[in-house]
Amino acid sequence: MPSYAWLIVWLPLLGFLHNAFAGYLYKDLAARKKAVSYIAPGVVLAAFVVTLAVLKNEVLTAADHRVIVPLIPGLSPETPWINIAGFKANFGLLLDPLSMLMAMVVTGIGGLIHIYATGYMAEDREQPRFFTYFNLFIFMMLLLVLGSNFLMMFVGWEGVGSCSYLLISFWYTDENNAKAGNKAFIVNRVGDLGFALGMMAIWSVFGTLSYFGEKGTGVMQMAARHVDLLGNPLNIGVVTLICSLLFVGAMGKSAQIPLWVWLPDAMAGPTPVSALIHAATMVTAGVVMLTRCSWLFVQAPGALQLVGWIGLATAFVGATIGLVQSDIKRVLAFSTVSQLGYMFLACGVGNFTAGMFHVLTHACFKALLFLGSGAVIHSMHGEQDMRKMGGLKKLIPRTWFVMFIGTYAIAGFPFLSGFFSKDEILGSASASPWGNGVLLYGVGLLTAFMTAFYMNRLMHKTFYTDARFVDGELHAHHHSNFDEHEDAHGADAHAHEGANDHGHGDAHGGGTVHESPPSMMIPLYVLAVLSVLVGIVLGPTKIFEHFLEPSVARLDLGPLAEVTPLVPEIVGWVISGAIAIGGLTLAAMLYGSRKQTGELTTEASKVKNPLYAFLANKWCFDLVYNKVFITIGGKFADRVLWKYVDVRLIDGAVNGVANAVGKISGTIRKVQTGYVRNYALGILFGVVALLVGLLAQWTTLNR
Amino acid sequence: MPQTEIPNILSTLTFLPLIGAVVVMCLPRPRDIAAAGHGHGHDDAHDHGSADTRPVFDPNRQLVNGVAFLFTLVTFLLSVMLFLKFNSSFVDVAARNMQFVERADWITLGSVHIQYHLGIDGISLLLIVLTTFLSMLCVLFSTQNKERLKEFMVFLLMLETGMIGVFCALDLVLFYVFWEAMLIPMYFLIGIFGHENRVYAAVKFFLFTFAGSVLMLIAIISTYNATGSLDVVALSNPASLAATKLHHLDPQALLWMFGAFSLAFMIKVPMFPFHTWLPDAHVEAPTAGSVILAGVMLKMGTYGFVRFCLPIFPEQAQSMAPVFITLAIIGIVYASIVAIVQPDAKKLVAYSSVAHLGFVILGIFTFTRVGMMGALIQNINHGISTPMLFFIVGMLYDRRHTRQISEYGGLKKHMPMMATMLLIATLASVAVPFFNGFVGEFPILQGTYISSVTGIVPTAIAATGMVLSAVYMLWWFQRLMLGPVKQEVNKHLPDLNKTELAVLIPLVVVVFWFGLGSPYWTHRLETAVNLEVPVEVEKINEDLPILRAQFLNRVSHDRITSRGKHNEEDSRPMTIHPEMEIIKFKDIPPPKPPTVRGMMKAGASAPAAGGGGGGGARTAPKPRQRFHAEQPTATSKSLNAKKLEGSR
Repeated sequence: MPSYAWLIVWLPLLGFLHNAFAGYLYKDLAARKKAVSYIAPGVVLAAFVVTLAVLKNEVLTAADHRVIVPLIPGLSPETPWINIAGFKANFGLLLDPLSMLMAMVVTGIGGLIHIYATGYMAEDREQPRFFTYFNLFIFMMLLLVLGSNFLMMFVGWEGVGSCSYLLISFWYTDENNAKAGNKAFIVNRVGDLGFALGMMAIWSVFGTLSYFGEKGTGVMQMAARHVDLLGNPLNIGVVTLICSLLFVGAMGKSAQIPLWVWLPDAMAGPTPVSALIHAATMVTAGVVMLTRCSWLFVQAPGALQLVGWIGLATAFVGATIGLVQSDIKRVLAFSTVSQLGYMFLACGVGNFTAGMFHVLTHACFKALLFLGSGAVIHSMHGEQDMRKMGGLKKLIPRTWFVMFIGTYAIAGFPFLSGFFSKDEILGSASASPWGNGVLLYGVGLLTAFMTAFYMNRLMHKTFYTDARFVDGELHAHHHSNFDEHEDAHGADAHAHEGANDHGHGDAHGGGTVHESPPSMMIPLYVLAVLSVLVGIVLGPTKIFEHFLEPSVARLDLGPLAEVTPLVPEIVGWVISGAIAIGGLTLAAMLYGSRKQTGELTTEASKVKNPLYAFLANKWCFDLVYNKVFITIGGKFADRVLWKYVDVRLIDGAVNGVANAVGKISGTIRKVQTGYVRNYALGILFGVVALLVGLLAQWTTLNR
Repeated sequence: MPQTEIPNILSTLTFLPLIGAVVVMCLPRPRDIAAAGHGHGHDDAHDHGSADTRPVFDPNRQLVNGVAFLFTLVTFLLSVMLFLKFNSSFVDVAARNMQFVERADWITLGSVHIQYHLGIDGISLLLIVLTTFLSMLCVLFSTQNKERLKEFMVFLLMLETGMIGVFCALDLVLFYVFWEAMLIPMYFLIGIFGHENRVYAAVKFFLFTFAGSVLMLIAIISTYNATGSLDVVALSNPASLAATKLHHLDPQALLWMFGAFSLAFMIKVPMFPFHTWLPDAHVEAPTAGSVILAGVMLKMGTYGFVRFCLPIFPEQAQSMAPVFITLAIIGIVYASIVAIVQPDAKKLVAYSSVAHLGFVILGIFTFTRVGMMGALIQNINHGISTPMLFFIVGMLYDRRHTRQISEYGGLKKHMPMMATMLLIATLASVAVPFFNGFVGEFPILQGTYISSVTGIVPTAIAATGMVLSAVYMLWWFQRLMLGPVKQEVNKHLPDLNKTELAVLIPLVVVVFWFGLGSPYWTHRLETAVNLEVPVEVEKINEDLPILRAQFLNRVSHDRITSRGKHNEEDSRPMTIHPEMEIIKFKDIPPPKPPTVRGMMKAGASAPAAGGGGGGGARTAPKPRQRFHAEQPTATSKSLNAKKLEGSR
């Protein structure tokens, strides 16, 4: 039976086409929005169902649990997309546990977020455009994880980047959103440059870009045999170069130091975007890529160590910045940066499975947290500043409950999902084959402590402390490209606006805090259940590890390099649990005792404290980048390169020649006076000169 | 043979637009439409937009538009027919020669025989189709022109003849004639129909290009003096008498001749530092002029390199490759950075053209098949995406009569359709995969990476062009389309009208056709490129460490010529076109005895270098030997040895 795996990818694509051309299909805006709100989540959930079926019928039954199927139905998986002088990339899908896991995450959690977004975006006039990009994103993300070669992954890689760009700047009438979109795309492009160079290096060594091929002709198969295209042993230096370049790509997409600066700004997009793209799926693409290339990475200890160090640094830096943020989405953004660092830490010590496990659990609880925060923001009529929240537990208890679960899950509270994945990472970090286990473990624990702390800080500032706003007088922070003021409704415009704010259709008084509609709450409940169960079901039972085994290479440094973990597993559990509880408790103590303000420090002391300023400035990354690339670079480009080199130097030289010619001709022109006597004089001179010349010649000839 | 079916299709194609020009010239002159408001004075008046205003029905106008469009349409359809009939087989020996050849004596002056010699290969084929396609769209777009419509159409049609002629001509003098003939209508298009500073720009354009042409003329004459031949095919064939004569010249003289040809093409491309005419010409030219300029005329420079410089002076081209690659890379980075800070929308696109063409030159001078193919595809792709950008800028100009980016902003809200089109053009220009730009840019960089001349560091520098293009294009898009609407007048601009959509939609189709189905186009180039990149160049890597080695290209040849030599569990992928394998059994001519040049090169490169080097023949009826008998085992062995040495 021919494979029907292509449906996984094609369904979101068809959804995209439907939404893109919805304007032509349905004339009425309401009808269009209704159709889109069914089709968009529908195709993604259908793709999820197909994924499950494919997993059961095609992948688990295949030898090696690996099968390559066509992307375009009816054609061979070898159908080329690009085929130039031996440089070839196919329209093929690789189905193996890793790609199926990611496909399930993307379509499953993506489907839930789509449902949520139907509620969240219901009132936006451009809802069809939103879902156009959203479905396109799912398509690109599936291409990224399912593609059978590096170039297909790169298509998805840049495709999700483009969708991220479009969605961050979705509310484009605010210039800051547009700038944040640009920043995300451009910083990602820097990473993509590394990825592209890595692919070029791969092609020059392996002569193919397919991961797996027939008779062991894929990159990974050759890497596993330690040979290149010609059958020669692999050069470690070259493999290290390849892996480092690929990792640069991962740095960009997964927001690792030094390319992480775009992710916090990406929160400018609608909250479902933050949840889907900038938390659950796209940003984990770097980890997926590293795991996909684990056969290469395990041969390049240097590159792996780089991955580990960068991951650790990012985890730590992200957590420290998360401590001082006051925007609810930004706390979560830095938490995402930090958690991604954890995943790379796991990869860096050779435990790709632990990294992927954290990808899975993180996708559940971070999507939950983001969507929960979206529900909070929605209830608060667009307010994102935690300093203006507080006391929401009483007003929106259901939202509080799911956020509570998400917080405890990410903090690593014992037996919730974050606990198992984080503990796995910390355990393998302590057994680091590079001899730096103590440091990795120590900083990892410190980061875990900070994570628990800032997450409970978020909960306290938002839900537990006294309300710092007056219920019923909330001002809508309008997020829409179409300003209602333009068609003002008179005196009741304000109340009207409140109800028309992105979100919900249920009628209620303007400006009060309210629970979100069911379309938003149901996905939250599902995610809450997942955040509780995924860890304990898949982690200690080793189901996950066994499932992923065929897709992941093991780091094998020989028996001599065997390192035992610092602490036995049970002790590790106790320590991890204690750290999480410690962090949560400390935050509860500190913020619980400041019920009124919800602040540890006053605004004045914040400014004075250099450490606080440093953290609030995000370790000055943005400052330095702005100074170097935008201010200085911009001036250099404008004044030096363009106005000096191009206009004055190069063009000046050309015009100079033209002017010189003009001047010389101008001078010579004066000879042409128009007076016959002058010409006669000229003729006379000419005749004399001729005669003299002839005479001279005659004399020389007759000598 | 297909050419028997339509006699003289190339001549028909070339001169049909000229006939069209004559016909249009004889038509009655349509009345000018008073130009709609310049600047702010009339802003409120043209709510429904200048582009839509058709105040009085003018039959003459319709007639001129109709006739001009009809001629370009028929020309385009003819070129499509040419495209379909083109023999792009890997197997058929005939496919390796010039096709649709037409040959006749044209001017005979004493011993000088200038021939009317036309013919195309895959490289010119795509450029011809591009030319007719863009000319058609330009005429369609220009039907909205308000003033001197008839003259405009006449110049456009004359231009088309010149451009097609350039891509068909296989006689040096004939080529020169077309090359120069095409300057004249372009000069008038800029000088008469351009914007404020048009005369300066027109003169600058003419002088720059003409300076190059004069040098080329000298080179043509000296080539003739040395060889007695003006036949491009003969001169490109190292086994021919003409080429042998040419290469007996003093190397210094050859270098000068190569230099003169190259300079002409460098100016035309334009390469850094000869690029300054381009921004001026683009900015001042009318929209159709900019489109043709960017879409086709710049391609003549790159085409010149591929058709003349490389085949006629292969050694000089290789020895000078580092110079060209350096200039190309400087051009990419420099032009991209300068593009970022342009306040003028059109100038920004003009600088982006310089950067994109830098990629093309880079690809050509890598002397790898991947790089060369990428360059030729990028050549076409640039001719799709940049015209699209110019069309859109032109549409904006028609509405607001300004090119300053700061005058716009937030247009997406009121012109969603145009914003979508511009977004597509932007992403294509940024070379996002699945858009056309990627299919060219990536192979170029891949070729740069494996080239023996360059390596990873130059590749990385050139690849920063990827990042920089995102910077200038996205910022440009943002400043035009996103953010709040800053100017009241911009709130009342009309979205695209039907004519404009009719111009843009075909371009969008081609953008994605190239982006998604590139093999359809690229396999027509493959045979020509295989002949273009001299085999001997691919051997240089013999002495290089494996990282930079181009051995892949060679391994491909191994596979072609030695199928079945690998043992069973051998893991080498079979990446070669299935048809190509058949060549081994059917078509490979026996190795030729090495010529003078062949011996030179065989001596220069290692013994493992397969076969007779470049000693193959490409006399008119016979193909140049491309897939020669190699000793794959010897090749691998020597590589092994080298690599082991390297790794120790």
